[in-house]
Amino acid sequence: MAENNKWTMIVDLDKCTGCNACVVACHAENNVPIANEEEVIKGRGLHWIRIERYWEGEYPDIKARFLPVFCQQCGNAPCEPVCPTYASYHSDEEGLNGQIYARCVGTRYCGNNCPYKVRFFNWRAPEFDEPLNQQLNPDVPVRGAGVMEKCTFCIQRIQRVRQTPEGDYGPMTRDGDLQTACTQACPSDALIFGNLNDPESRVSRMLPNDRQARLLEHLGTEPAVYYLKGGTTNVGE
Amino acid sequence: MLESSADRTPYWQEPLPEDDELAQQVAHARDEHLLVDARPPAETNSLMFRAMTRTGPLFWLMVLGLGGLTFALFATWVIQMFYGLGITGLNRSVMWGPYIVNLVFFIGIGHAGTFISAALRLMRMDFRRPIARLAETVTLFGLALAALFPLIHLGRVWKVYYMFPIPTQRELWPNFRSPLLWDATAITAYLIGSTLFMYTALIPDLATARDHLTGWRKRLYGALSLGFRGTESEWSRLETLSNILSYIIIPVMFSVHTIVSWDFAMAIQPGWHSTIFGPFFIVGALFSGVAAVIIVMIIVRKAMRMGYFLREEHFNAMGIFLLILSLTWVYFYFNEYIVTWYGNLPAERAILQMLTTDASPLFYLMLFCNIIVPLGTLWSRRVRTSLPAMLVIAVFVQIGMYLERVLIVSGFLSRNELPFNWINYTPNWPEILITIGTFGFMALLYILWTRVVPIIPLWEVHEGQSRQRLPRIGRAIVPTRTEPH
Amino acid sequence: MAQEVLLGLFDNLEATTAVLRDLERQNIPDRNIEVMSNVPYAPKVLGRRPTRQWPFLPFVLAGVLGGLAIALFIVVITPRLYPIIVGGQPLTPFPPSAIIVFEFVALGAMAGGFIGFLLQNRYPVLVRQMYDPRISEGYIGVAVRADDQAADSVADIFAAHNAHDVVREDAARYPVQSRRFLAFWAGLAVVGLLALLAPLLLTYNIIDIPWFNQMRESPSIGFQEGPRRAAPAESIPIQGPVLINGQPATEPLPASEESLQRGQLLYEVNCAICHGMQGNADGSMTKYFPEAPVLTTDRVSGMADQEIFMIITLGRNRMPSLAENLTVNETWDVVNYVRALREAGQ
Repeated sequence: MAENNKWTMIVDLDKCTGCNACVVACHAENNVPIANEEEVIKGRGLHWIRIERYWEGEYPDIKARFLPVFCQQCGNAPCEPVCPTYASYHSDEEGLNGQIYARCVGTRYCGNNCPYKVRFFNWRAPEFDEPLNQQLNPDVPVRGAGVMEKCTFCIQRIQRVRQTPEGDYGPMTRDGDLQTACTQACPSDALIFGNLNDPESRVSRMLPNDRQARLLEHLGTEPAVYYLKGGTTNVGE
Repeated sequence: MLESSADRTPYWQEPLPEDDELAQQVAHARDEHLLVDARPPAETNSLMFRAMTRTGPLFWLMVLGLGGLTFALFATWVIQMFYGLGITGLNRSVMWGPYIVNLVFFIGIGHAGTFISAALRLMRMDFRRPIARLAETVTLFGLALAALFPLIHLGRVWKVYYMFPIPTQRELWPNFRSPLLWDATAITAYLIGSTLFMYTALIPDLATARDHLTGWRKRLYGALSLGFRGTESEWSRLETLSNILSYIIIPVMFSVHTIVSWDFAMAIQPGWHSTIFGPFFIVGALFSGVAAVIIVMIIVRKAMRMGYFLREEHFNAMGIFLLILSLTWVYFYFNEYIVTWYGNLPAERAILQMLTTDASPLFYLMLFCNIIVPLGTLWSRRVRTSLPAMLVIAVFVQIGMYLERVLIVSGFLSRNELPFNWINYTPNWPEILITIGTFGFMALLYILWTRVVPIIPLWEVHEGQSRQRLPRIGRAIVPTRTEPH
Repeated sequence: MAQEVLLGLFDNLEATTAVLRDLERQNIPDRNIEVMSNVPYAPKVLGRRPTRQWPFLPFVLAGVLGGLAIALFIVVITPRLYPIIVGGQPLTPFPPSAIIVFEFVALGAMAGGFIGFLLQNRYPVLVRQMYDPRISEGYIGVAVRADDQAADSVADIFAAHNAHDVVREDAARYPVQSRRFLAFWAGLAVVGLLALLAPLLLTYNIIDIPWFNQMRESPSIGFQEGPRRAAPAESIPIQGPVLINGQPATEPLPASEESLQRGQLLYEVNCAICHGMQGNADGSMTKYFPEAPVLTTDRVSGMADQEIFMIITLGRNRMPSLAENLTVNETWDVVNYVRALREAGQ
């Protein structure tokens, strides 16, 4: 009997140190191409998870705020209906906002319509010089030029535990079955990943939380990512 | 009533009144108005066909130059396909740039054509007669080139058939809930509709061309005119069909640019998500479209010596049209601006700030071109009837309307909800080359078209002339029109 | 009696209407008279009976229905052929469907009207027609089809009204336009349909145009696409089982419960297909590999751990190497499980 998952990520901003370990782990796990310096200057930095750094105050009384932003896996995603080819669609089984690279023709409408700007376009064909291609994850396709991509909550890891050989969806996933690459890499346990449909999971027990907020919640996108932030705790103090 | 003496002679041989003063007034009216200045059709026909068949060295030089620009367009496109869109200046926030601006712009100039010929036809506005086909041609090529841009813009244009509703091996049909496909559907409907509309009105002129030209042209026009002879039933069917097409194509025309605006308005991008975008874009489209038709009218009149057909009265009428559209555009732009400004939402505030800081040269130039230039000059009849002045004003309007689209597309996109993603956009060489190349391609198609198709609808002019009379009211000669329906 | 066709050219409307009036008095049927002009004159102007009123309606309606059918197919049927949820919208939401229906209905109406125009006029005319190029110079032509006797009186009428020119010819030279134009359009429709079907050759990959940028040619190396490159000499860490003098470089894992659980999982995936779930060599592949040994025998239990490790890693006889499938630790887990099989069997 297939049961639906509702994948949820909690980002504890009070714990995030802005170390970027999650970014590196994501690059390795998901074959995310590396944008070179010139591309980054043009505003084409490509990280499925990025640590937005905001400065508050004036030097020397200055505070850094870190905000890890990645695909919010909206329950009501603006990027989905605008895609003419169904490359962006909604998976009820996993509660995820899916992206099928092979269907994408590169209209980039989803990127415009994403208020979080977490959809990335392959402006050029990605280059993995020998022997770097040896480290590519064979579970994840390498996206060619002209294709949109984004954080998938490591869908390949989810599929490995979820899908039966017949292609059906197995029972609901529980904590410990899998982790995403970024949660695995987070040294300060600021990223917590789990299934909100499982009442025993860590995310279910943590939510609702006094410190919780969702990014741009007023847009009604129903994000699956919750940010925790206390009123007085600030990184950099 | 007595029989009109005019009917005993052909309509182009109406006798002058015997009274000197009245005769002078008639002569004056003939100078002013094309439709009372009837000449034998043989003469006007050959005026048209001589211009059509004349291809001097200057013409071929133009073809060569514009062909070069066209080559630049396609060569750049091929290079872009090969190296990816990375060679453009687009970035993660500004994912849509000049390609979409060009799409909007070329669809925009394609709007005046149908409006002039279909709407003015139904309203029986006589000044449309010599202009109709010039304007329809702008529509036809404007739309065809606009349809090129979604393709140029695509990341993987070789997979474009994923967006067509045709069966494929993938057993997946496109998602018609996407505004892009509403857009594609509307453009297709409009393009096919305007082609049929144009062809319908062309048939009698193609028949005339068949009768008066020789060689390959005779065979071509013989085939294209389908055997039209101008019998009563043919004319009456042509009339009915033109009316049917006019009535249908006007709402289609409105839907096309509304849907183009919905490509933006459906997105929750700050600045785009506005309910006024539909009518706002339509007015903008008509505004730039009428300006485009004015430019074409001036060039055709000059290059093809069409002074007989395209007279001051036509420029005057188009100038008034442009003036009204400019006022309407100002009204919509102010609406758009004040709602955003008063709402004062953080992201939209950032956009308005961007307009007056980072993008201020473009913003103020746009306001100058779209408001100050037309509103400051077009109220004067002397300006409206002066060709150089009209050319300059129309070019200013084009620049202004192009900038307006630049600001809406790549300007607004550069500001969004999360300030971390604010990136300004500067075009790189491919966008510039492709844009210039497209203007060249448009001009190339246009000048070649003027050499294969009578660019002035001869029969419509003749029809108007056969129905216009110069009766005397009191001491004055007043042109009137008779509509035998 | 031979039929004749006469064409009179007149340079003004007054003469034309007079001729038409006289022809009517001569009892020439209306359908045998055609008036040709370079500008449209309404029948009322010529003093003739008006033409039939609503001939376009059926064509336009057919176009509307055709457009509606296409639109409904697109917005109602295609989303259900492979239902995909996007943005919480229903499969056929009203506003986008209304747009698609409007556009296709409008397109259908325009195309239907145009086709109606072509068919009613019997375009393209593929036969010789009575015509004179001077008509497009402003002359009004009156063409009359009549038999010999009537033709003479028609010619008289033309002359009486100062016809600019009269052409008189045998009607046999001007056959009535037959249904050949229908054959023309049918042929064109077939060609057009074929042209529409041609892209299917591409979309069904019957013609596969090689393209330099295909995502299916991935730079990554799949599980089955060995062998992997050897690691450079000084590189650390070492990946995979490294064999020194034919012996594994690592120590066996203790046969803990976890190790046995993992071992069971891996055994069932990689080994059981031949060696059987309980190690009894009754896996489904044994009909092709009958020599697969039973793993619970004394011979196997007498082997050293390292030897079993080497067999799994390198393969033996017809057993393939599993080095690509199992990491070092996973191999030790399997070794532990293989040992546990005998105990479980007893």
